Amino acid sequence: MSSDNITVHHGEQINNSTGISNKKLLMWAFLGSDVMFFGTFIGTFMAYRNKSLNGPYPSDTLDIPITTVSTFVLLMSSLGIVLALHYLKQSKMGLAKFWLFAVIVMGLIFMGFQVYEFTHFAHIGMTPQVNLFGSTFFTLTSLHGAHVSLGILWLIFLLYNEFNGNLTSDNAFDLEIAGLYWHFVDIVWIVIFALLYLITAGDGVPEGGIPWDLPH
Amino acid sequence: MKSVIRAGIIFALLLFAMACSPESPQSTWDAHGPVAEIQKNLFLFVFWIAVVVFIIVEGGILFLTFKYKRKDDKLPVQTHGNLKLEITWTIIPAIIIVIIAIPTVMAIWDTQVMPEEENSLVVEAVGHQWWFEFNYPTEEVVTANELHLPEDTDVIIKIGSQDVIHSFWIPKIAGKVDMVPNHENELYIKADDPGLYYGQCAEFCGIVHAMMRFRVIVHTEEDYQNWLQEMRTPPEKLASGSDEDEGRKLFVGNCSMCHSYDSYKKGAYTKEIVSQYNRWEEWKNDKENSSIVSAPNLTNFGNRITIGAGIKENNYDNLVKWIENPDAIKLGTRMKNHASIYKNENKLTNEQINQIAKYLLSLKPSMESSATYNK
Amino acid sequence: MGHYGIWSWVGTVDHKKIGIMYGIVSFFWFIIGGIEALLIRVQLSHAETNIIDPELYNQLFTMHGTTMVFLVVMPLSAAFFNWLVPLQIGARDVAFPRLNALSLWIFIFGSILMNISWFTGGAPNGGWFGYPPNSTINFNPGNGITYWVLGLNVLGVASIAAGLNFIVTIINMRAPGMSMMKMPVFTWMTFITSILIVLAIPILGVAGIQMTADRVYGTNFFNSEAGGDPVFWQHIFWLFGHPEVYILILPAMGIVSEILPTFARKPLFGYSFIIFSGAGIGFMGWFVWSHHMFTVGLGPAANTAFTISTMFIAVPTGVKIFNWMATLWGGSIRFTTAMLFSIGFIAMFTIGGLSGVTHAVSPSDAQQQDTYYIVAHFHYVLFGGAIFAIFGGLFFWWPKFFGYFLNEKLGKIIFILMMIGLNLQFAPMHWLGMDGMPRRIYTYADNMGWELSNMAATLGGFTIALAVALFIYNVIYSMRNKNLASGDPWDGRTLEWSISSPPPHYNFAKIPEVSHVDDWWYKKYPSLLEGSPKGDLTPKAEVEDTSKVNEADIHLPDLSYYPVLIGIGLSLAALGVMYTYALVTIGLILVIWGCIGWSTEPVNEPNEKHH
Repeated sequence: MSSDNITVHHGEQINNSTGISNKKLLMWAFLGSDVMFFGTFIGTFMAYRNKSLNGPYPSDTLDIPITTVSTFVLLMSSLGIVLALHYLKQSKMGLAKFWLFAVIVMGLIFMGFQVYEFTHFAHIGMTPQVNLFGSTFFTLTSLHGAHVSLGILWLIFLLYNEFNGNLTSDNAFDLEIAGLYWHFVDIVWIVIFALLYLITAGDGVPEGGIPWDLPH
Repeated sequence: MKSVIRAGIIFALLLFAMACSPESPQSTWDAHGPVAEIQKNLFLFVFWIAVVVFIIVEGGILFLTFKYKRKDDKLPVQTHGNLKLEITWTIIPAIIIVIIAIPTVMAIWDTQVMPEEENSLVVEAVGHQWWFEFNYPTEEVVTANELHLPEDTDVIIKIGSQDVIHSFWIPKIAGKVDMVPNHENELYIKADDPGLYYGQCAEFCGIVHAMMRFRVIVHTEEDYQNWLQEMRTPPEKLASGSDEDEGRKLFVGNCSMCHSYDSYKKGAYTKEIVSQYNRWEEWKNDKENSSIVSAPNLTNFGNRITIGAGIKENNYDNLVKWIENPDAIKLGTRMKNHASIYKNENKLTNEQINQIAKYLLSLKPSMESSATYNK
Repeated sequence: MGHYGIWSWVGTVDHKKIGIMYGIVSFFWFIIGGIEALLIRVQLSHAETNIIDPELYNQLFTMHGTTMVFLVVMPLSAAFFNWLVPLQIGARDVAFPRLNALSLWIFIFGSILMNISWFTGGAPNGGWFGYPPNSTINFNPGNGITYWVLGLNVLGVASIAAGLNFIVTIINMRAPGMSMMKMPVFTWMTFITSILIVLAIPILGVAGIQMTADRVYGTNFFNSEAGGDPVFWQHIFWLFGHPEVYILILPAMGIVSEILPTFARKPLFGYSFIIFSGAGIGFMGWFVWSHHMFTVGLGPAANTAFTISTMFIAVPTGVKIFNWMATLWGGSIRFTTAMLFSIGFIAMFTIGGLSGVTHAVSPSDAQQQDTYYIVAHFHYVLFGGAIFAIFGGLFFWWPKFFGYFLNEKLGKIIFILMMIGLNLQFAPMHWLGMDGMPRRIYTYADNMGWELSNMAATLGGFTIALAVALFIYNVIYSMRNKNLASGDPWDGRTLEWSISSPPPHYNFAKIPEVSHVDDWWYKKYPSLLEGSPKGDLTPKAEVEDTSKVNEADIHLPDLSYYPVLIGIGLSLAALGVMYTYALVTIGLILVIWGCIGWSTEPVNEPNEKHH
């Protein structure tokens, strides 16, 4: 017991009530708050579904086949990070580095798809300013993309530390926590893909016309 | 200690004495309609229960602090808790809440469900920054800032807004309902007896929210029909060359693009809706320099009680001051920034302003006016 | 960078220093917010005055509300969390000391960011609740409201970081033997508040991002011309806003729950019920948000549901009040200033709570909503509640933080002035509201009968100002004429009283082993474990003697300046959103530099092996 020892340990202290390290608990709590964040944006999207007063509408713009590919890539990257962590814990540094690198590449590919999608939308006249669908779609997917980008930066930093020997099986928990974050971002994407793409992609001009009478 | 308590009681009494100020024109205690009455009675019901709780708690606190003031160094009995007490003081308040809930839910449904439209008078109230538009679709009458109603009639106010969120509130008749753009809210009211009532916007709506008020005049059924008839009657003919007539020409040339003044004509209701919409669109396209804004309808202005949306008494002096410089009375209205008469090249002389004022005050229907206006 | 003087404060990661800085900065904003209030009161003291024009008035009430909620009560609560929680759970610091410093610096720079707006074309003027469309760029051009939303978002990051930190600290770093149900009540309330913060503030963040996007990038979230729904903002804002008011009051309830038993010399009555009702309030608070929207036209069914859910929150609140009163019952009460404020809290919060019940019932609320009746309600619970508790906490823990007492005579005068001022100012607002005076109006007509009450309210406001000025004088006087305090001057019950005043920088020489709630009390008086006091009651334990501690053996986290860097960077980036992307880039570079520096700097002094 370290109760007589005036030393503060950071990061990985296991002598606590729950057995979960401080960092891991922090990440879980943070992800809880991020659920509220994304939940509110997704809620906004669903509340404004079919309320746009003009096009372009989802049916004019969303491309399910292409987005399916990018979703698949992101899902595979989650598998990749599981493998990266597994090999890191076993000190198989070559494979660990390979898989971490693969995750970064897959993340970049996903972002590439996003960039392509956004520019394509801009060309066909769908912008955040054009209608409610544009506003809700772009803010939600951009914020998700920002989370992915932050994750990619984090993973690059971790990969760099694998190469210079600072990230080893001894402190593999640092990769585990990044992995938690990455899985979360992936799960959020699955929800977004299901709701924004699969379910609402058929939305065209709202049935019953424009929902509210404009004031006089 | 005793003197502290005495001082405290005197202080509390002083505070309560202030509560008995003269009846305010917007007092919610002076209910003149069933909706306000139900809301007031519900409040009083909850209030008296709250008073009992107040006496128990505050009296309890006073009692405890006096009785258990430290007298010696002995440690008191170290009670940790008492399950029976905990259950009691959880269950009893819960029961009180249920008791309050029953008349509450009844009151909600009594006040927030609309009667049948066929048997009610429907009035549209549209909020603007910073005035109230009132339209009577079935009667084909339009007006602003003064709401005329027959007594003892079910009225459904259909509430909307052209710009930001406002709130429609006549405290003596009913609680408020917000005026929200893109929404049509409904308020059921009924006024028990004739009289003059005050209303005010009760949702922060911009710079001069404080001065967005209105008046409600409740008539007997007969007087109300007279008023409707007046609203459909053209004004007194003006002698050519008179100040009023000169004022009319100036008004038509400089003011009528924003202020409708001839809604006594047939089709006025539809026409005004279109006009206000067009004015709004034009202002939106050029908020800095547009010379057109949505503005109150001034038909029969001569009979209005107030100017500026319930701000000043409608008389010659106030009207002249208003036209000269509306910002001096109601800082923030759009009139000063947008009306052409404030641009240097179009400035009116004092005489011209007087003429316009005289014209406006002459806008009374050309018939024997038998409706009474309790000022 | 040096380890002494001002740099030791700028780079500190010590929770005690961070707590003090939170306290000083938020007290500064308390004075600013108070001045804003006094200006409002001067303008309203008579009918139809023109001392303050409507535009300035609208900015004043917006900033008064925003300042008091986000820059005063929340960070003052954070000051107490920071100072007390590690001490109360027997830890040496929070779980993430640098994250703790980050919260502080983001708060400091975020609060400055929001107030720069006074000098750049006008402070926000849309109310502390910023309802669109009035707060959209269409109706409110300029940067004022954009400063408001960006400022709130920046401050939100600070709050969330702090909330996360305290959740981990409280779950993971309790002294051996301290189960959750042996924690002090203040720590419990901190825990519940922290959970509320991390769940509710992101919702405000979303509203802020949407409003910023609308104002700066032309999106349509609240643009009624494009079909955006103003009521939607209200839903999001109040989904955050209602848990927010419990974030504001639960820490205060925790403070009072510590002070009452100490000066009544008996345990808190119904400890577990107070905890459960706090958790109950935190949970039920998620289901009542639309009681702020009773007049918006949600319909009788929704209004009924929210009326009922709102009324039921009175039940756990009542449980707390009765338990506090039962703590006094049979006690041996000493009326220190802290005790006066705590008893005052119960009395004044009850008034606010009761007026709350009168507007939980939505038909009655249809008359009260947006009137001064509501202003009366929330000032009784926030001033008579939260601020009273905070002042009580200041008088109670000041000797612990600084080693000397705040003057008690002055303290009692301050309490009396505040009681008089509070009631004189806010009691008349109840009947002003019932007499039809709406909120947020810069003036009123002279035939409304409102003048006498308004004048009384203005006098009350100045009385409170006098009390606050006297408090500042008390601080200076007490600093100059130090009346030194021992480690346990009040015969306290919880662990912070078992160490010296002020505590050593490492808090505990030996981490305590805990066996009971109020463990320090039972270490002193073990005979009380058997029941009522009898026999020998000399204390069996003493405040820790740290004279034999070898400072060279002590390894605590080193200073770090990266939190400051990130705090500056984040606020610069927010500023840049309004002015130029160059500033956004600079801000983000500072943030990234800070993050990388933070990840790579050694945590402890170089000779300490970090494993």
